[in-house]
Amino acid sequence: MELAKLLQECKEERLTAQRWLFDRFSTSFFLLCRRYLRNNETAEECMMNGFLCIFKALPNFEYQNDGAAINWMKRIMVNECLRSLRKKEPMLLVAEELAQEVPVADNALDQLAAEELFQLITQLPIGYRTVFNLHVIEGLKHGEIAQELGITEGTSKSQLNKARVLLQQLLAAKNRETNAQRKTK
Amino acid sequence: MHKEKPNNPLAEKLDGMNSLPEGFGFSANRVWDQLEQELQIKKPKPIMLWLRYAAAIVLLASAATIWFLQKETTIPTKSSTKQTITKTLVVPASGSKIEAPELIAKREMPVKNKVLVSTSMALESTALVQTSIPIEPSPIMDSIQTNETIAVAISSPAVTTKPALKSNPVRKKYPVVHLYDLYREPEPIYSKSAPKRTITETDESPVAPVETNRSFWLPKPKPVIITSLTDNQ
Repeated sequence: MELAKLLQECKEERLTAQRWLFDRFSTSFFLLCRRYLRNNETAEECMMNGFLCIFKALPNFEYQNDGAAINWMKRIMVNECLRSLRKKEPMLLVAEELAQEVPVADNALDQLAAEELFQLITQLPIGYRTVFNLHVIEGLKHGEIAQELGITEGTSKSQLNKARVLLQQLLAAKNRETNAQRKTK
Repeated sequence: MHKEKPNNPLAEKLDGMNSLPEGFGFSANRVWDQLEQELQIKKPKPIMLWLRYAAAIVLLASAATIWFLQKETTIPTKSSTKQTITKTLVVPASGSKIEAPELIAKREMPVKNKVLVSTSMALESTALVQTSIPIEPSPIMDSIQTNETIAVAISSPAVTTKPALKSNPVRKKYPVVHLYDLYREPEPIYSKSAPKRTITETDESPVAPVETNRSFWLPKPKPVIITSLTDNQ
């Protein structure tokens, strides 16, 4: 079924259409939530609340194209994750540092497979991964991130740099492991 | 964030994931069941909605009816509705009866009432008020009377009408007579030749009689001492 038609039927509060929408996007939205949150249960709960928000906000949504509609739903999910983090996690309890943006090559990350990248991100601490997700994956600027999380821009930049450095280290460690495995074989 | 990010290979890579990696998973059915429950709870039942609307309509209708009825019963005061009915009673020509004083029946229409009373009705009602009460002095009995009976005779005309106006000349008058005068025989014309009258034992002195039928709980009347007057006095 086309997304436009599906959303239209969801607007009319048809349960079948809502189920279809859930089945279609539940996996990707769960992965999105899991990137932000610490465990599967929290991500599951957050995804459910996100779907509820989507169904509630659908009557006010005007469909333009599929990409915009998917981004709108993703944004709702991200907001739900941030709300959950604010509620449950001691958010970004890291000393504020005025750090300059260190240019770290993301080429190594680009060469990773999606699953490997996902697992590396979930290994990051909450503060790091939140800023990394918002800046690198969602494309928010540091000002917007600072506003969203209630931190300063400097903190946001510092968190992002640390996240990148840590990712490089994790990636290097992983490469070493794979090389060792190859040698043993 | 609503903008599409075409040059973000990391985001594209992550968005393209259609399967869950190892160690990550969720129960879609369980989540959907919870979601379905939440969705159904949030939808208000149509029957309850109709009941609410019906109750609201009934309440409004009843309130409007009560208000309308209250408005009907109250009427603004108009000067034209006020009527003063004055009726002068005709004094009959009989001399023996004491006529009632002139009656003035003043009737005003109620201020906050819509019920109209016709003038004729009002006149009829005033006609019922006018009364002529024959007030006569009670006849004097042959026997000796007590002061009590006299007092009753005086207070008997209980007139409930309005007090007489100044213009009414009719007035009840009683002559003041000594009690002795009521019982004594007509005095003979004294003459020097006539023999003098002497008081004998058989003469009845004018003493108030003792009451026998008087109730025992009433206070005893004070004895009236009447001085007997002799012819010499």
